[in-house]
Amino acid sequence: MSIVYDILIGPLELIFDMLFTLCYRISDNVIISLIGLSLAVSFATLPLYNRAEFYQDAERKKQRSMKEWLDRIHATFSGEERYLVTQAYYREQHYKPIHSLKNSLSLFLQIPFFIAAYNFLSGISSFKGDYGLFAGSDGLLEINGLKINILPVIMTLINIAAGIIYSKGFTWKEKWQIFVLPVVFLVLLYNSKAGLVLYWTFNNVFSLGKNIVNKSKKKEKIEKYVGAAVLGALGLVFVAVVMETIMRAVGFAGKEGIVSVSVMLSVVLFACFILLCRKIGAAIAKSGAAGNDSQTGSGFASVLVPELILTIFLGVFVPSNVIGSSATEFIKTGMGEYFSLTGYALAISAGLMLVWTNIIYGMMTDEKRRVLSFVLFAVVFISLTDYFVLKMDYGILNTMVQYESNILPGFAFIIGSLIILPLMVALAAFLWLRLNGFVTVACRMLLVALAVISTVNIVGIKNDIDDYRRQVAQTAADDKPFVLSENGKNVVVIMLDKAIGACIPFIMEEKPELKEKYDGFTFYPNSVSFGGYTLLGAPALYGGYEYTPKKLYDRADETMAEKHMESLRVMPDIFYENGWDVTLSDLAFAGYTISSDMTMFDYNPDIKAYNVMSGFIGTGSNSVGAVTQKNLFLYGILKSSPVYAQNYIYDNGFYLSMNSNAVAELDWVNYNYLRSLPELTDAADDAGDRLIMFQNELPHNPAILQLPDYDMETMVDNSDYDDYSDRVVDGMTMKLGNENQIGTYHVNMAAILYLGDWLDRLRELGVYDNTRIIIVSDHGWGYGQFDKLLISDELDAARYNCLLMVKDFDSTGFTVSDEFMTNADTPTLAMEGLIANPVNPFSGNKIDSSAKTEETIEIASKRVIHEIEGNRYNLTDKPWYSVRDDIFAPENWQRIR
Amino acid sequence: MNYFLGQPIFLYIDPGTGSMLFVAILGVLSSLHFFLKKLWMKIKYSVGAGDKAVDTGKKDVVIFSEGKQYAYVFKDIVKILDKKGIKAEYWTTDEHDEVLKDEYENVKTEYIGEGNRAFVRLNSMDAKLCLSTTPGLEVYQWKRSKKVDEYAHIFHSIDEGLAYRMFGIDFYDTILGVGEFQKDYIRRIEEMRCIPEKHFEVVGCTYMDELLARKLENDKNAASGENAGGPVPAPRTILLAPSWGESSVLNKYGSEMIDALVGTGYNVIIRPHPQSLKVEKDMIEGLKERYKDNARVEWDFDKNNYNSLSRADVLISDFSSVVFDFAFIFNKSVIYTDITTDVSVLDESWLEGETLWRYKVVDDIGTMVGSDRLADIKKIIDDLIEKSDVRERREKFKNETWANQGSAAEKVAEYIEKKVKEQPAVSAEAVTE
Repeated sequence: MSIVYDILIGPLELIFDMLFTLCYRISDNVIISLIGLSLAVSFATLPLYNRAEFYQDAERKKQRSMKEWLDRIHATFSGEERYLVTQAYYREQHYKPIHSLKNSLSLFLQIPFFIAAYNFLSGISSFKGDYGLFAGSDGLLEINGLKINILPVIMTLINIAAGIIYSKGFTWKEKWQIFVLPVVFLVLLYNSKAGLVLYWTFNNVFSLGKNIVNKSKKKEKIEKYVGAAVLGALGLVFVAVVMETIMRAVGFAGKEGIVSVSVMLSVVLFACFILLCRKIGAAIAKSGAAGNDSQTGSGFASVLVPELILTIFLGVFVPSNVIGSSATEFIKTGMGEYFSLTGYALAISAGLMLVWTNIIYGMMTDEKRRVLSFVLFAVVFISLTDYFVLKMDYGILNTMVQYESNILPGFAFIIGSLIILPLMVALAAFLWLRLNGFVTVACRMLLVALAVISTVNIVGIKNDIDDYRRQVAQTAADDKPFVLSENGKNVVVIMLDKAIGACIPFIMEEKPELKEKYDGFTFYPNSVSFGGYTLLGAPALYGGYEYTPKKLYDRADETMAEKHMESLRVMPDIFYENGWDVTLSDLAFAGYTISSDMTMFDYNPDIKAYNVMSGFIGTGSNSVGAVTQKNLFLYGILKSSPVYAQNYIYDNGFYLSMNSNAVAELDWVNYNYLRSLPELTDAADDAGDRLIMFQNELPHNPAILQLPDYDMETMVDNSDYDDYSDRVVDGMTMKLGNENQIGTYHVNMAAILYLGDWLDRLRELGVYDNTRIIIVSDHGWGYGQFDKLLISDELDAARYNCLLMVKDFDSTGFTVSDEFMTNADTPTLAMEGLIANPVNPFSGNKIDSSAKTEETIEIASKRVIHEIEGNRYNLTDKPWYSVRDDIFAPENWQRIR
Repeated sequence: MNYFLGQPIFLYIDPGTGSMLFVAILGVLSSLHFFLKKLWMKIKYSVGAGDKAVDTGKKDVVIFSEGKQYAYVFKDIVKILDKKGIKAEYWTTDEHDEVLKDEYENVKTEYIGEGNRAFVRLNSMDAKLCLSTTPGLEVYQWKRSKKVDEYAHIFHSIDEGLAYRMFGIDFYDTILGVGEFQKDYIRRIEEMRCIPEKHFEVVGCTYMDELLARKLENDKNAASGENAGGPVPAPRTILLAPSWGESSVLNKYGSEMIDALVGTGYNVIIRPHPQSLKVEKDMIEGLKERYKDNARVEWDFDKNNYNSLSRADVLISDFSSVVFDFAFIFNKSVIYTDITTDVSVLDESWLEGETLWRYKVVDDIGTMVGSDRLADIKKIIDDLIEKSDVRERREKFKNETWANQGSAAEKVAEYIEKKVKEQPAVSAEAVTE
């Protein structure tokens, strides 16, 4: 059922989502967005509706023409003979009772649009003020405490008005149905969400307008104006998208000149583009020389080949490329098999191309079919050129197919892509019209090539999955992998990926009881990491100051992989050599793989190296992973779009979707892992010393959790707790103005809450006081959330404000220290007083924090994926910063590269 | 309310789509209704058929006769085909069919059973051409077989070709007509129903030829036999041969008509329609009782009408096609009774309000008598028998109407021969899908 839904309704729902979101992004107003969606859908389905009307008319005429003799047959014959004679008459008239069904095909085609609209609109969550339209029915009028919904009534009145105009000249028999239905639907829709009813009301207004136009004597003139208006609206949207993208790229202050020239350029280009399309359209409609089976004809093959190309490209090729780049990381999302990840992309592509495009094709005249065939070819030509040739490098993707920060092409690329698009269309037209033989062969070869490469990708992914399964089987953990010593000493280093230190004051403010749970901890708000990503920040966290990005860069002769893995070994090896029992799990990029290949510790069988997290794969809700699946398809759309549109389509990782604040499977895995931590932990009645190091990624992906307990749920309804106003603690303001800011706070809170429960477990086991605990993150993230960390327009220091909380043996109270810290202090903190004069076994250098004061803290903000496979980062083209003493003082920050 | 994936779905319906939805719902319901009926009939009609009933092996021609009464339509055709060496099969659903009794060299005759068994055979027929008198092909249980290239209809009586129940011959490819006069009617019906033209070929009427041959044979026997001295001077004989049903002569005029005929002093033979004996038994019994003592009134219940027809000097009937048999074969006059019959189930109902050929030609073969003229019936009868212009008019009309007198079977056989020799016969455009 689900696959049928994905194929038939899925593409429509996705388009609705993107249209609505686009309107919302432009207007920032739900009602305008609903109007925009309604108009877009109504105009898009207008040809379908007209076709339905045509069929219905034909059916009415046929019925009328047969009526006299059907009545007579009915009156004259009886029983079985009546049926037989009626059938004979139908056969003579080439009529089948099923024809009335066939003639309603267009109606049935419209139903999916309605289901898609319904499902999309009812899926919009209501955590923001103006989303209140989607919280319930309107209840605008209140009489004696009885709430009356006004919107459905207005909708019905408009519907009836449309009916009056539509049914002019109909017999009463034909009329009554038209007036009964609005009343029926008033009853059915009465209690629907106000937003839904509003959408349908707008549809009815459109219908009313359409009926007025259809009955008008100036119909053709009006249609011309409406056509021009639609074109104008499209132009406005285009200009709005371009303008906003350019403003994001160059900024607005002081760049008014550039922006206004760009806007003018886009207006001119849009006009040229429309003129060009009209010219090409006319030429193509007229051309008909090529045979129907050629790519440039109107035969079915001429649309089927590009449809198949796009289906395979968007449904298999792009997703398999994305997954293939890091198959094991995707496997960790819990959807073990390749097709469970990409099935949705394939279903949507197939639905869009092989179902809907062909339905449209089926309803077209030969001339229009030829135009459609060209449009498909042009889409193939432009998409593949964008994807393969004009590609931009935006960094690496996570398993939700999001980049680690918003994507923004440079100004030159935006303008270039604006100019190049009409040229590509013109080139496509030239090829199509002049080199149709080449086009035919090229398309078919392309299809085969894409199919072959996709197959190779899938086989590769399957092999990666198998390898990962073997590796996981090797590092499967015991029931209770984390065992602490009751009588000796324990050191636990917990890395919380992407946890932001600045969240802690707000968390403690909201839940002061946490301070008791974190008794003995010292929180270091003035902490910084050496990079904005795990690969940049984690090595120093694990290995200390010899593993900062700059130090790694300086060791030009070794691969990044070697240097990273070395950093992971520093603490385990030193502690082991000093007689400690060592347990490790899921260290960041162990084996230099995103899936943490802990078999890198096989060199020492005494070190217990686990993938505890893998035990939680598949424990998420069934509906999770939906975002990954959806984004795998939308990523293809993104990468095959013109560069100027990519920032808008990417939409800061939302891919123009209102409903993508869903929780990814990976988040469920981390959430369940962290919640289960108390059960995974035990105490041993011995006197040995133990080092435990593990990682959890719960804070990594912003997710809205269910208040008040910050539970992860598939459907979150926080309408009872919707206070999203700014919060101020100790003079710092935290914003909760968008999904990312709210989600970031929620996941940080959840991590602290559940680690708090685990601290209770340690107390219960009697191992709290003899355990040193370091909770540290590899880096933070900059969502513009904390005012005191917004250093400059380009620098949000929250990105480097790693979390650092340390509890020493037998310490009490929850204290805050303003001491300047970095996460490279972690090894020093872990070994302090336990290992005498620790020395890095790889370099022979002493391990301490002296570099913090003696050297410049050089922070790398970004890194480019293809460079991590080599020996060094690229130092030159990305911002690097330095900071000293107090990260909250802007003057202490400096851009150094 | 619809449910989709567990969530209620309210479909937005605008006025146009609203009424479309009704059409759609009606379509679904009626389609379902028709589908179930079709299914039921399929089951019903296949009961007892058995697998062996299915026809296999391409034949040149199959002649199908639905009863022994049609044997005389086909008998001569079969003989000629046999002589011509055309491989034909003669299928009948009547085991007493006369044609079965004869031995042929090239023609295979077969009783194909009755009911579902026969229909399975017929509906799976494998032949280049199928010739039959049976109307209602594709309307009732007899469906066109995909393996038959051409269905040809031949008449067993003389009329416009519209006396069958509705759509009687619409699904045939070819009509082998009695005379040109039929063509116009067939074409007009085709036009009214917007169906393709059937091939129309005038062949004559094998049935009339057969009757004529019998008549000539009898006349010859009579001339050489004991009656060889010339016609027996007997009182004139009136044959009253009505059809059946509410508007038939007996139902409408009953004893009033018989009384008037008895009043002429002539012999009266009453030959009720076989169907009357089944459905109007009381009425017939009542009349029999009323005239049981009248020596001039004779009842004829013989299946064969030949004797009565040959003995009668004048025939009184409502519009049964027997009037043409009588007029053309026995060369005697006919009196139509002025009766409006209910034709609503027949093809001719499509030409409602129009005077059909058979009414137009009343004066060419006799006269029309209503209740107002019953009192003058003796004079009317005498005039019809005695006046020579009546005879001439009738003769002229006969020759204009009835083509290929005496050679219809030959014409039909020629047509068949031409068709089966055509390289692979292309099915004429049929009304079926």
